Amino acid sequence: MSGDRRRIQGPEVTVAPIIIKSTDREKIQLKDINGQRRDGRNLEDIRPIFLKTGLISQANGSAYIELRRTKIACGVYGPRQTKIPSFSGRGNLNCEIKFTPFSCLKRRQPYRDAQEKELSQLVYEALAPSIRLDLLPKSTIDIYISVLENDGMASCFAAAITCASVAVADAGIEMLDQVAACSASYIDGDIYMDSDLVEEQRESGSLILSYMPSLNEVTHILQSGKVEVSLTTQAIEQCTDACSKIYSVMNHSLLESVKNKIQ
Amino acid sequence: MANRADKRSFSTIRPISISQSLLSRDGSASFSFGKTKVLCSVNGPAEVKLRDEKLDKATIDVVVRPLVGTPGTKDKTHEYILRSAFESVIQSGLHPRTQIQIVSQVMMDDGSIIAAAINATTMALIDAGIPMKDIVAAVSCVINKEDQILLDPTAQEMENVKSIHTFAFDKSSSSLLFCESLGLFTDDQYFNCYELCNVAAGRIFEEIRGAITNKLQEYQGYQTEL
Amino acid sequence: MGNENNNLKSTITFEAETFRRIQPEEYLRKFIQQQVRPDGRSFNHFRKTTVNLSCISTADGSSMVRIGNTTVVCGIKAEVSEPNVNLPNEGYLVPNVDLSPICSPRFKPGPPSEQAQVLSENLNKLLKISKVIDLKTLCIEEGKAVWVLFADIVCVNYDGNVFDACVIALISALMNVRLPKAFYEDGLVKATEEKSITLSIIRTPYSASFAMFDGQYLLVDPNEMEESITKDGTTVVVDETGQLCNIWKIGSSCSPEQLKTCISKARDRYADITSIIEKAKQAI
Repeated sequence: MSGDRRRIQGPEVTVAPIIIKSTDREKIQLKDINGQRRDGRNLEDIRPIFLKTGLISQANGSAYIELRRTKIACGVYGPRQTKIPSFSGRGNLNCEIKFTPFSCLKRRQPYRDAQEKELSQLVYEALAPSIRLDLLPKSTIDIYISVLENDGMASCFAAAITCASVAVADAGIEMLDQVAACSASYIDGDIYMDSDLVEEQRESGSLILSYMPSLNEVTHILQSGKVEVSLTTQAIEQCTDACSKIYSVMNHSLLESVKNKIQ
Repeated sequence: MANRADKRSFSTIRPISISQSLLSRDGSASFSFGKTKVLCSVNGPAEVKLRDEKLDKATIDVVVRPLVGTPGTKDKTHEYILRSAFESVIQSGLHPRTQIQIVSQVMMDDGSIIAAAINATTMALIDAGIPMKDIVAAVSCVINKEDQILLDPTAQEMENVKSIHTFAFDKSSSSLLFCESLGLFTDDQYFNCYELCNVAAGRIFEEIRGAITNKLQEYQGYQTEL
Repeated sequence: MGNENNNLKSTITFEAETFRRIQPEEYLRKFIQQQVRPDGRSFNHFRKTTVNLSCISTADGSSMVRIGNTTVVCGIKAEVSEPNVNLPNEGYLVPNVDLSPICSPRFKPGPPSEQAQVLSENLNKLLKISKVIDLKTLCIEEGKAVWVLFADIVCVNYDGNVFDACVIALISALMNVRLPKAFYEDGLVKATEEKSITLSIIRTPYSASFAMFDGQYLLVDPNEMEESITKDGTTVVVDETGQLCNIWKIGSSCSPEQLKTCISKARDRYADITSIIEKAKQAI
């Protein structure tokens, strides 16, 4: 890409150096004999979540989520007037997810790529059923998600949905329920909940579930890879359980932000 | 003294040439310091796009075109500099909900390009008859490896220097409107450059005055002939 | 606000927030006349500044800087490329600022806005002309391979004075860079897994920004509201010896005395930033 003069240009072709690995990735033990994972979790455990609202002062609603190394910020702007002057009885929802150039192992280009477009569409699909867009004619809600650090694409995507849902609630936009999302990886016939990058590289398939816990309704399921039906059913069940746990974290952080606002 | 490549002394500017009303625009002018030349056109007050409309003043739009290729970050920075320098002198409150467009085309870059662009814009705005509180003139200087201050440097003189300074002053109070100083320098060096450029800006104001007087005389002569 | 107009026959009373919306300049002036700023600061008070180093593990060097509400994250990724033919032993350092729509409603999605381009360009000039790092130390094999450091600065929360935050983030992230040992072999660059080599930084410039209101009140570290009303900015960059690296002044006119005040305040600010970064280094 030599044409983009709107950024400071480096040399035309750059590559990441070849890293001489001392230990082979394939040989890393993902779990020990007691069934504990590299970071001490059990297979069905999710990583501890840090979730905070209201970090972007200019946004109507915002949230920041951290799952160990995964770090995501989300800002919600709106409901504001739709720019295109055509009448629409329902509100518009616009989701954009952006990976910062330094967020992944390999440097990402600063402009929007196909993967980001796809993920943006998926975030839209997961969130749209929860938001009362029918109450917001002629309006637009913009959800901007910025991934600062990515430790596993599936878990990162799930965290982005959770984070965006909290940010929408923080903006005071009417919703049916909050959406909590969780991912699971299938590795050698086991289900690893909320897998990180090293685990994800060994997976044979994955499941991402978006779920509204108090309504007990699923808004979005993304399943990939070849897996037995029974394992999928089990993964869905484990994901809904995990989502309920995430839900309590979401509620807690929203309550905290309301308390701060009252003070 | 005269050991600059073009036999100038350290504190002289290159020959200035100004021409006005070159294009079929509301106003246009070209300004050159030696080989460095910028052509500037001004259009307006004209209709403004709804998106850019300001209710209490005119929108000032600046476009900087490089000699070759598409505009890059450097040209955007020049646009930003020109716009903020002239926003504070143009009486934009007299023309609310309109647009004043300034297009600055670099014809040849042989150093001090920003200063030339600012001076060309002043001339073009005068030519277009846009009301202004004051007029602006800019000069550059560099401090070379021997700690000598070279006024109005050429492109060759701008290489391998300790610091580069560009100052723009207004005429009535001769106070600073814009300044960009880069490199490594001390307070004293900075204020020496400031003084030197302030004096040089006075010369440019004289040139500008001369150019306008000439033009008016020509115009009056033309009218009496009729 | 209505109380002050009691001598007028008809007094219009409205909320302070409404007043701010419809007459932002007058709103600010009312505060300034009382020698205080709308956020409660005095004219010379910088907002609380914090620096967090090594916050992004996928980057080779990273830093998060907060000045009040303004938050920027700088991540540096090292890649390998062929050097420029004319400079066979010099690497590259490519700074770019991204003002994404997440940080403020004034930015739209798409290519970098004018402001982002101006910020990137000014940072690039500062790095180049003031020689912050010696690019020759980024050479792996002369004429064959050099390091390219992509320094991407992302603004997460925009509340004014982003340039200062960007400079601090960039310099502290450069201090935080750990490169692997790299060697050139048959057209390929191989690198060790362990990252231990630090960059040799020649100079550590930090900046201080000011806004002038009504031509006489100098507000240090302006926030978003003050920046948008005054439309004026002076930035002074100094290095560790107190030498000036950059003076950038834009907007309304100012006198040499005011510039001198800015320079001396920038030097005071430099000492504060150094101690903040030292603390951050110990906190890793």
